[in-house]
Amino acid sequence: MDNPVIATPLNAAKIDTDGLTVAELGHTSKVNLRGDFSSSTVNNALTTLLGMESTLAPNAFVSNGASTLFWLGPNERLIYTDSDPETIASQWRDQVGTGAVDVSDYSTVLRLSGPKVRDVIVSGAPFDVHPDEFKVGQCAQTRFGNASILLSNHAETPVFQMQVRWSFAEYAFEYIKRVANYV
Amino acid sequence: MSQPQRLSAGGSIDRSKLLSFMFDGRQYTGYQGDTLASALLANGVRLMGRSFKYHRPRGAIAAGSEEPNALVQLETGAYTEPNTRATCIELYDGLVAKSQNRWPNLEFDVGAVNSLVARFLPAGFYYKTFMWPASMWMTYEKFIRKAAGLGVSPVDDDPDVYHGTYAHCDVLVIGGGPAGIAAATAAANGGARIILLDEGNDFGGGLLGTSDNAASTSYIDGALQVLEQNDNVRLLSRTTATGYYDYNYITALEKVTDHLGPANGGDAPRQRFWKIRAKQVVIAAGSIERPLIFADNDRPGVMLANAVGTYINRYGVLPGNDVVVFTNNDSAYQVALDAAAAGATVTTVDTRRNVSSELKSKLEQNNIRLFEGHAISSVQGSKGVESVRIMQLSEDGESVQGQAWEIVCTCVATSGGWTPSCHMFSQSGGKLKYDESIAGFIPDPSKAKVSSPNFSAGACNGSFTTHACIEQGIAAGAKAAAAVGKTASASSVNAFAVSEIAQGAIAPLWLVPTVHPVGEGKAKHFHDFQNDVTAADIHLAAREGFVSVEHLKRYTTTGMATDQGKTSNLNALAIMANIQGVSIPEVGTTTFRPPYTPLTFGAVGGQESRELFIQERKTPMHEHHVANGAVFEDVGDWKRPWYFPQAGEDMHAAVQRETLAVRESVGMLDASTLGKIDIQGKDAVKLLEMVYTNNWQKLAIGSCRYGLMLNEHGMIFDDGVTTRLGENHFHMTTTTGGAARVMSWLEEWLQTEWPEWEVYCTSVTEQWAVMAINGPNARDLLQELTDIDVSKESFPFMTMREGSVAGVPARVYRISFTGELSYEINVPARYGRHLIEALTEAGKKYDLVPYGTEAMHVLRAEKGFIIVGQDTDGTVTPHDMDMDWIVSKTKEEYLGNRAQVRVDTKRDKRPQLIGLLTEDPTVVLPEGAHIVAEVLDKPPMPTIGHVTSSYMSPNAGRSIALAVLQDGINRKGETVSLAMMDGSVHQALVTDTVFVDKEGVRVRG
Repeated sequence: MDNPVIATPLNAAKIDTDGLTVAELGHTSKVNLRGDFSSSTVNNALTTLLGMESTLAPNAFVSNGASTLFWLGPNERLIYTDSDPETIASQWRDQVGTGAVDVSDYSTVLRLSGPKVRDVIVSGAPFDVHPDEFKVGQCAQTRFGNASILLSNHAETPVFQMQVRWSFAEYAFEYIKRVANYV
Repeated sequence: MSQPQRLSAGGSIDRSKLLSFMFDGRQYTGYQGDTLASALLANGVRLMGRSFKYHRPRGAIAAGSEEPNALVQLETGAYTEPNTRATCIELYDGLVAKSQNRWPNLEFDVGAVNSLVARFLPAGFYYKTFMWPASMWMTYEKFIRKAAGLGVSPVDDDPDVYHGTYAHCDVLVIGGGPAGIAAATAAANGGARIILLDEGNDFGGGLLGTSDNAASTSYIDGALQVLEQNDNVRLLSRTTATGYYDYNYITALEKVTDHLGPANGGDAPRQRFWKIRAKQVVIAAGSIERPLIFADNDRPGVMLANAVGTYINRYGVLPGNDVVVFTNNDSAYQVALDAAAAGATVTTVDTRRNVSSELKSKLEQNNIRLFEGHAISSVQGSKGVESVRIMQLSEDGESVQGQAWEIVCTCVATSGGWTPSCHMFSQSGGKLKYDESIAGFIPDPSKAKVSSPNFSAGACNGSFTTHACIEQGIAAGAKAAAAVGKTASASSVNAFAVSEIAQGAIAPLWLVPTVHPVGEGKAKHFHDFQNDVTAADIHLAAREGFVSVEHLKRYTTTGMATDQGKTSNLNALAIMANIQGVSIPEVGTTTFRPPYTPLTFGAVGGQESRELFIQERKTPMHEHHVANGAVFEDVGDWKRPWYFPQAGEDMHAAVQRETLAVRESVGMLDASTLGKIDIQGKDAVKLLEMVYTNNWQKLAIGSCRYGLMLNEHGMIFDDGVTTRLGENHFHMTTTTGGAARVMSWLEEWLQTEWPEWEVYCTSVTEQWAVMAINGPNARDLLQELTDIDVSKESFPFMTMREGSVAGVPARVYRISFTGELSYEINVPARYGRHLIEALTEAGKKYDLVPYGTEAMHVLRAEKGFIIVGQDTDGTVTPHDMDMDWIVSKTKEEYLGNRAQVRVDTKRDKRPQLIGLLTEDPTVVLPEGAHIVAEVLDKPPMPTIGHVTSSYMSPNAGRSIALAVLQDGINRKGETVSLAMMDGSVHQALVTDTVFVDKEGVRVRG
């Protein structure tokens, strides 16, 4: 059999209009991690599995190149990783004993850049993305229209990422396309 | 001559841009910068519409958004908009408008006969007269609506696009007059994020309508320039704050391209709806002048004094060459001076007897006659003022006396004082207090709602001079900035002097007497122009015992029109207070409610219309289904293949073919939409024990079990198969529509009742793409694609195996919703398309048939498997569904357990699930058909049950149905009657619910 095609919900769709560029990232491995992130067990697991520290401010994310760790809640983190997600999940369960789930395909990631980005995002998100309030390195779970999203701020230029569930990806993409004309 | 009332100079209109427009079929011209109202007045058109109830001729009384009379039907066809205020329509070339409430035309209106029979149409008339008999109300209502009604709604789709957006700021300033601009300036200096909005197309508020005042104008212009250059300031003109909600959440409507005319806005949205969360709010909403209520005060040409001033100063239009100014305070004297300066012959009538010598000498210098202690006792002219009569007021103001003087005039500029616009403060939850010095209500900051912090400044706070407005604005802006931790410097505001006539000592005269007592004679004293409510109506309401102000409002409909009583409310309260012999604050105010001015539904919906109204969720295999001709069905918000018609097939034929194929060879169904929840943690099994009715302790790793979830009332609310992946690791499935509800249900219990349990629930619905393959050939087909040992012995029914399918990692669950040999192949969503293509290819030699949800429904009904939400409706227990087998007899507790022993849950003759076989096997009963205890000639007939699912089953070779029937389980073997809507009756045999393979051999094959 041929090598299976690795699909994403938007087939790498793009928007390139005046003041706004949007691109769907390629398939990204993601693991949802649960546990007590103040414990040494968790810290050790993060260090050995990902080479990362567990100290992370609420609503912040940190990257070491190979992996990016997002704060989702007091007992919940999300990682994007170049490593095999199933392996990380099962090793986490073995080492920490708490929840770990491969959620690589649950959602896709849109990368948004350009001067219109903030106005586009707040057209659908009741969340303050002003640079004083939502800084580079911060992330937040909010909504965009009816879609639950994980929003993160990656550069001052500005660059944002919007993680959206697979089945809502087309909706969010069309939403962005429509409001891009209006802002 | 065109535009006969246009002054030769002055105003902020652009005389180089001549615009042409149509009103009631006649062509007129105006200038860029005009409103429709100012352009009509420039053309000498005073009559702009008819009133709501009496069809009285009416003209504009205001120059702003408080206008009650001049409502027009703007534009035509799909772009038409009813009840649009001519005073707020910015003129554009080619504008088309029509007056309202008249038939056949404005000059001659048949409905005006209502005015002659006014004695028989008092307040409350409709409700009293047409309430009986109640059954006729629907008929009456049509005619009343037609006779009364305002404009006409468009019938075509709205061709415009709209934008909605959220915004956050430190300080929102509502109103861009002198107070608002000062507040924004003060707050912005300290670096606070500001939004300053104003409903006008230019900032400046009341100053825009005053005669040129160099000091204030240069202050405003300077301040605006600074604000425009500040990145932290957003200036929104043409934007009205429509509602003020809890925690400083304010909505505002921005008219983005309305002023350009239909279809001239390019790509820009027509309107934008702002949803603003502000840390602090400065309300600088200004004030609204009150009309004096005198006999026939509604004749076209009678206007608010400041409106006359605004038309002169801002638009260069003199509303009448002979102007009578009628006032009870000083502010209108400036209008008298402005009108005289514009060339009008002006007479001033003041109800007071103590006009200051300074004002008197100003009038004298401008040849303006002054009548002190006088009042207008009548107005001559019906389609427009021709003259007024004035008489001396008695000392107590209760009557007029002496010689009447007739003064020829075409415009009456009236001022009864000013009402602060407290709408926003009141909507924020604050309480008002009465200020005697201005005879009006103002915000009481000591009774503001703590959770919606705001500061009122300027005229809306009862301070009417420009100087006071700016000072209060600075103070409010500074306080708001300080409250968000920013410093504000007041030094940026230059001291300046301004010359203007302040309101001075107001002498309230709430109801101007005439030669007859109010309500007698032909004259009417209108206080609410838009709803045609008169002072006499308030007297009537009082006589009939309506004491509460809220009752008064509903009985007389005062304040209930689209203008929400902006010009009328205080006058109504005052008249009521006078009748009752109490003070105005004792009468109290009615509630201010959003929206402040009418707004379009389109704007509220914003971009979330059409395809974006609700998300269309699609599975990873969606495009493959499309390519294979699927017809889709909405399930929850998902698009699921309903059936796959082949050439020449209708739905029935396709579904029959798909249903047969599954039992004869093999079919495949996209089952990706089912909810999936990954459950982990050492207390995971405890959670399952609580949320399902059956036992989960002993489920082996790698095994699957069906479960039923009940709510607290013991009623079925979801079902699905859950599989044990590890000692403390489960994979739960839910119904498609119930996925989010179940997830919330689990989280709610975990977070509120069992927070100490270690259980983690993660939605994985979209992680997995799922293809179900069902039928005798399913095993052989799977065998072709997998490295899993699929033999009966090593992969039995109700187990799960991991391996590779079509070269990609997969979990295969041997579970079945069809009663056939079935496998549900789960692969990561990225391989969903790959999986369905591989199955399609490998399935060719097994005659693999893709099937949709309709065939799935038939297949499961053939086996008597329920669909939660179709065969259940939130009122059925497991026992009602004949599913006692799934309820544990040994568990101490599970959710819904205790409800099972409630009297009603245990009673006899509850409706229970049964099968039905019609006597005529070709009859497919309609779902919802009633089983009746007794067939009567006509309904109602005693109902004992109803059909929940009904299909033509090709595998049973006849129609089948599931139904709920009182005491149904004990009635198997009986024949029941079903009464149809068309009067026919079908007989059906009550059976068990399994119609195919009763022994359940096939699923275990």
